[in-house]
Amino acid sequence: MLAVLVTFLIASISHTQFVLMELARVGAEINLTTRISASLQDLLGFLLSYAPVIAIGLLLGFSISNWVKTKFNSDSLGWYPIAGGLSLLTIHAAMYPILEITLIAGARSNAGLAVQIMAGVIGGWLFYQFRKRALSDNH
Amino acid sequence: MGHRTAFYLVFWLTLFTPNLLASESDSATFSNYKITQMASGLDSPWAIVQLDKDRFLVNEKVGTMRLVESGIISEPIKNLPQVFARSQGGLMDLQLHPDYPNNHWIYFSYATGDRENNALRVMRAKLKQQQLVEQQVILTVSPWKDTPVHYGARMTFLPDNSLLVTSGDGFDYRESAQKKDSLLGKIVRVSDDGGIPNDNPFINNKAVKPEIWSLGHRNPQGIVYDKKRQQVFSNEHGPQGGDEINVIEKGKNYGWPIVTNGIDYSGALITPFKEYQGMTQPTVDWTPSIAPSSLTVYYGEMFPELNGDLLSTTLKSKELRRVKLKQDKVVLQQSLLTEIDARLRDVMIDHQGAIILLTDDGRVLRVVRE
Repeated sequence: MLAVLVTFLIASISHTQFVLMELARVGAEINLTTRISASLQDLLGFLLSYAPVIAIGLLLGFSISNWVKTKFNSDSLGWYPIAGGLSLLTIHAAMYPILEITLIAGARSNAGLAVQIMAGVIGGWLFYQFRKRALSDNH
Repeated sequence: MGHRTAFYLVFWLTLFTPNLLASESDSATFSNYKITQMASGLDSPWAIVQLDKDRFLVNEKVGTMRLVESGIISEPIKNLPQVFARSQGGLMDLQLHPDYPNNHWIYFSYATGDRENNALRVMRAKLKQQQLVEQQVILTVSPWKDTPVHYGARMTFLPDNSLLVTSGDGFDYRESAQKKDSLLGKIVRVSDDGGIPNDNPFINNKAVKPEIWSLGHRNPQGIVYDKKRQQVFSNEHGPQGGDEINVIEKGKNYGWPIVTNGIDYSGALITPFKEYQGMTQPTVDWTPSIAPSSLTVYYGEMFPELNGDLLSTTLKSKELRRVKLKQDKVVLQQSLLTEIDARLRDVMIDHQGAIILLTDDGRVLRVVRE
């Protein structure tokens, strides 16, 4: 749950900053207060759209990762950050063909998409930390 | 004020007020009409023009142009250019040159290119024996893009025979609407042979595309020159909310995407601003969206109650939206013809003053006085 929350926070806030950066490039003056308020509004705006998509994407990604880990008898928990990153990449790749446009505007540039993927990697790394702690507690 | 004066004032007000109210109410009513079907079975008709008393020319988005005469739809007109028909792109608007009866020029807009690299293009040609001949490219919007959406593509002629063409932002390139070295998200003006008129607003600035007439547009799909008011009106699709009618003036910036009342389809902000210095506010804002798809201004004897009113077809709310203006202020809005219950794509007024409509499900309808 925390992994999803952190991924969503990073993905949403970075989306807002990329959108505002593009507006600034074409002449809009954006101060810090506007930047913070826009970030908060986007967190709310994404709550019923991007947030559940991220949650489902990570759930699937981590489940597949778990299955792969069992299948190959791997003890490594490093699969989870990879799964998190790939989940976010898959989400964006899957949304594109719907209208052949980029629905999350902050991911239009390569840098914007890379930060979205990083959000997934960080979420996966957090999940890995919790799994590691849970496994060591059990042993 | 003496009692006598007060009495006469009240007397005259009492006498005239009901009449004033009646006249407002009369002009608000749109009734006693009937809807007849001129044709059906067209494939995504996008634009229609009247060639002469009985003949209409229709563009189908899929890339075909057909004649409609006495309810009969012709075979496709031959010799059309290659059209990139995908998603929102295809064969789009149609306009006749103001001197069409003498020079026979037909103007049409279409998407050209392919999925990775496409653009809005305007061509003029003449129709001879069911073929397009003497084809000339009038405008190609640049830069080209890799999205098959937001072409704009509507056209209207100005009194000097120059042509205004709406160009959409290509969706993924919304900031281009503010870039003066790009024709995306603009209304552009070219002369009837494709030249650049020397009174275009940015003609002397080498860093600016000389075709630009106005900037800051998202996906304008209606434009009309109002001969009586001598003004250009345009409507455009906002995202979620923020659909607009603007009075288009030379060199003005209409704000997109720095200013809008809409939000993104994802629920996120497009921009934190609803107003911004130097950017023109819309005459009409439709939030939530109604998805305006074409625009005309009514002048005709058949429906005198509509004279001077702006009529926008809509896709989402499936209506003909009537907007009555007085000195650029909206005094009345009405949803007309909702009983058609179809996405309405184009509206024109025929030579008799009847309202001609295209529906996305392939019909040509004619609204006449009953």
